[in-house]
Amino acid sequence: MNDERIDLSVLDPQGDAARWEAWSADTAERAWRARQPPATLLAQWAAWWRPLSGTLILVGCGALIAMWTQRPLSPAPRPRDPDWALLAWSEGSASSPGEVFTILEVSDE
Amino acid sequence: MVDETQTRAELLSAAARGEKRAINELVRRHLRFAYAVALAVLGERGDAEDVAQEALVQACAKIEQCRNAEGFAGWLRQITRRLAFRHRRRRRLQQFWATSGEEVMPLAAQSADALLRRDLLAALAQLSERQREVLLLHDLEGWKHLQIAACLSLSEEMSRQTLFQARRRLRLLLGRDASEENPNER
Repeated sequence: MNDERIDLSVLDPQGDAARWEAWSADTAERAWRARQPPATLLAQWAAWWRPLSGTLILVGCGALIAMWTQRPLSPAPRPRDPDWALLAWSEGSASSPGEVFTILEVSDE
Repeated sequence: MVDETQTRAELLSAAARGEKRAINELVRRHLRFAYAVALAVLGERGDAEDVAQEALVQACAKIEQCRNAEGFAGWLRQITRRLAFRHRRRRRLQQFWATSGEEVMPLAAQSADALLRRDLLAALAQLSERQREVLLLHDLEGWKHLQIAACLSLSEEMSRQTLFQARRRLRLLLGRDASEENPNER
């Protein structure tokens, strides 16, 4: 009874050397990439978010600086200024004459 | 054998660290094996190549799950078969087996290799899946019965018997050694 090896070379993927090389190289490349997902994801995240977050920080700082520089330059009259107290009282803003006198007394000290 | 095991273990741990050279080597050592396993299930070269490639990609992606280097081939076989069955369900390859896959070109236009391949695949389709797997691993991949038995959870004797029956039936189906065969015997 013949029990020799059957020639299956027509099914052998290594029969075509060039095709085999390309196939195994492609498989190895895909397998290697599949081995790198965390690093790749991190790199992708960094590639997008680092510049984006940097830009956002710069824009935020710019907005803060702009708000700071555009604040009103002339300060409001101080409440304990006697002239302001009298003016406010005459315009009816102060709550009572006693308040004005208190302010004047304090400023006199 | 011990050195080979150590080398394989080192190869796996290097591949787990993501070393490209190790992954390259791992793929080159096991791609044809995965192809043979997939071919035993699917019976078509193109599909078997796709599945073998995907199996190795998946195996490398989760290589930590392979607990010992000795069992890598068996583990890869499980992955390959699972993918192959999924692939077969999708493509309904049972119908393919009934006809044969390489019928796109007219017969006259096909090369002798293509015709032989077609006949071989059609004959292989008549074997049991176990017979196909043992035959492909032994006669295509060049494995020994010891390796096949370990990987397929068979005894060595069963592996030999399966191979013997597979070869006998294949020769019968291919019309070779017909005089030596009893057509009524399977």
